[in-house]
Amino acid sequence: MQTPGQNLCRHTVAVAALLICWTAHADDRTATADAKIAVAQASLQRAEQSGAPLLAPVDLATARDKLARAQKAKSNDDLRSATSLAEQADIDAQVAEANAQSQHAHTAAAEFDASMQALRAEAMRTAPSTP
Amino acid sequence: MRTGMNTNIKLLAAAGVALAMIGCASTPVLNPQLESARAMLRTTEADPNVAKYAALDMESARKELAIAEAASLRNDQPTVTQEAYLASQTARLAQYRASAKADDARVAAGQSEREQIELAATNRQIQKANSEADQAAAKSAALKAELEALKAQRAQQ
Repeated sequence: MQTPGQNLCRHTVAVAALLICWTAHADDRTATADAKIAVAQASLQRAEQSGAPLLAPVDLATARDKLARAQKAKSNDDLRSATSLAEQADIDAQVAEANAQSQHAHTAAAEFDASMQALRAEAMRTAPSTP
Repeated sequence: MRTGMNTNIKLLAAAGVALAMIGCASTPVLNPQLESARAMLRTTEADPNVAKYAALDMESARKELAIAEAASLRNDQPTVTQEAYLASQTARLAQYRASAKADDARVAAGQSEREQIELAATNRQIQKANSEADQAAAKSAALKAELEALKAQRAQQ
């Protein structure tokens, strides 16, 4: 037979344990949101330095907008939205960067093709005629 | 009698609702983002450059789509939408990266042809310069001989 005091003690411990678990989980969610926002910021910085502002403005604007919304959600303690928006901002920034880089590579390849055509034409022009 | 009929109608109605719920649970709700992601991945996987140059990105995209599909079966629409969006964007990422690498590879492969052409042109220039030098030397020797002949003639007079 347990005394009411012992029951109360057991219940308090149980509630305390639940609270600790919940706050730890909440801390984890905050850390996750923070980490994802930081990753998105880094991706956005790289994109901005890759020529994306000129070559992939729409993708970049989308990334910037979502990062801003993620930060706003975080400050409103809406961790779920903050995390998902940060994930989207990160991939959007990477797409912007890759878009810009693929355009750079395409331009360089086209210039190379043109110079090769000119080179081949010149070579045919100055080649000695076969006896 | 009336109460009996009411009970029957209620039973039928309950059975109908139950059947409808079972039906709903077995067919996932149509999510446009998921449809779009499936199409995007199909297109991207058909690109030969992607398989060659962006296999890792495609692997990520497939994983994200798989998470979306699983969420769809649970009718967890927010996760479906999120993961399907990420999958679509990762597939786009794969396309851009593969395109850039394919262009870079083509330029690198073309470098050796360029070097060969430039080498051949340089060789021709060298040959031309040598031949011109030979011609000049021959002309100089001929003029010298002519001068000697004239001197000899003068000396005889």
